[in-house]
Amino acid sequence: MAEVFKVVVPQSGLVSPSSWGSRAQIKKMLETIMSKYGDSIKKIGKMTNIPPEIIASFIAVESGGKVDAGGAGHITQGLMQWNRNFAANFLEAEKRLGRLSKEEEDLLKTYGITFNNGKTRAITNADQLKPELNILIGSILLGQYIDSYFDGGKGGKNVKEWGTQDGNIRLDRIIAVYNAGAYGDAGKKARNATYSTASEMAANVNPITRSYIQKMLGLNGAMDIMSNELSNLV
Amino acid sequence: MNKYVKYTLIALAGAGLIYGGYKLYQHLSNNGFQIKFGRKIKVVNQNIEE
Repeated sequence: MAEVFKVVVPQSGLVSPSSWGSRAQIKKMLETIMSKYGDSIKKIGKMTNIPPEIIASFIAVESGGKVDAGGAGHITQGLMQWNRNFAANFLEAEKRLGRLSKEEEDLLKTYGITFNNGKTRAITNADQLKPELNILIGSILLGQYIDSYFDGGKGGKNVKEWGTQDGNIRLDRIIAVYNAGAYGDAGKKARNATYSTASEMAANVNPITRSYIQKMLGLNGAMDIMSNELSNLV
Repeated sequence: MNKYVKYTLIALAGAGLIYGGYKLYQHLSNNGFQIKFGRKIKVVNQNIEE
């Protein structure tokens, strides 16, 4: 029987910053993302077992839906802004941990990413600019964080459960590690499960990570709009 | 060997076996595929009445 987890939005005490845009503007951004990448998001959501609302919201917050977001050649360029220098490491971890499904492996193969004795090739900037591949790799990484892994398969639920708490997905902690890294101040607070609520977490991390948490989980933020007004798109 | 030393060693060996068995169970039950695909995530919006 499946273990059920909830993501409750909007989170109490969190409001999406008005500087990011009005509710109508963010809704338009999400509609555009779903229009351009919705088929991939839904397919990869099924493959990686992550709700499309979460994937679409991450894309909105990380890149605004721009395929080349982050600047030409930047190590995190792309829709989901993951770091290509670490991508091979966490793909290998996914394979090593037995988490990579045949569908995921087949889709990676269509982009020339295969495994030989558990090792794969370096992921390139050109890879990051392919929307479907970027979404797949970003979603695989999100899945590792949901299950409390970090830094290429370290940790895990049996070591310390930080991606979930009491039947809830702690997206605030996941955002902190995804955005600020596992070893910075925000990432450590996330992995140590220092704060029991998302608003406490947001109040105690750096302003950039705080704004990401607010954009993702706050009132008028991406997840609020996706689940309240755009559920028909998923 | 003194009987208390013997019983202590037996108790320690027993505790070691139990601990080892627990770690083996933990390892075998830490099935990565099951963890990833055995969960179901539900998005709930607080402002929508069920």
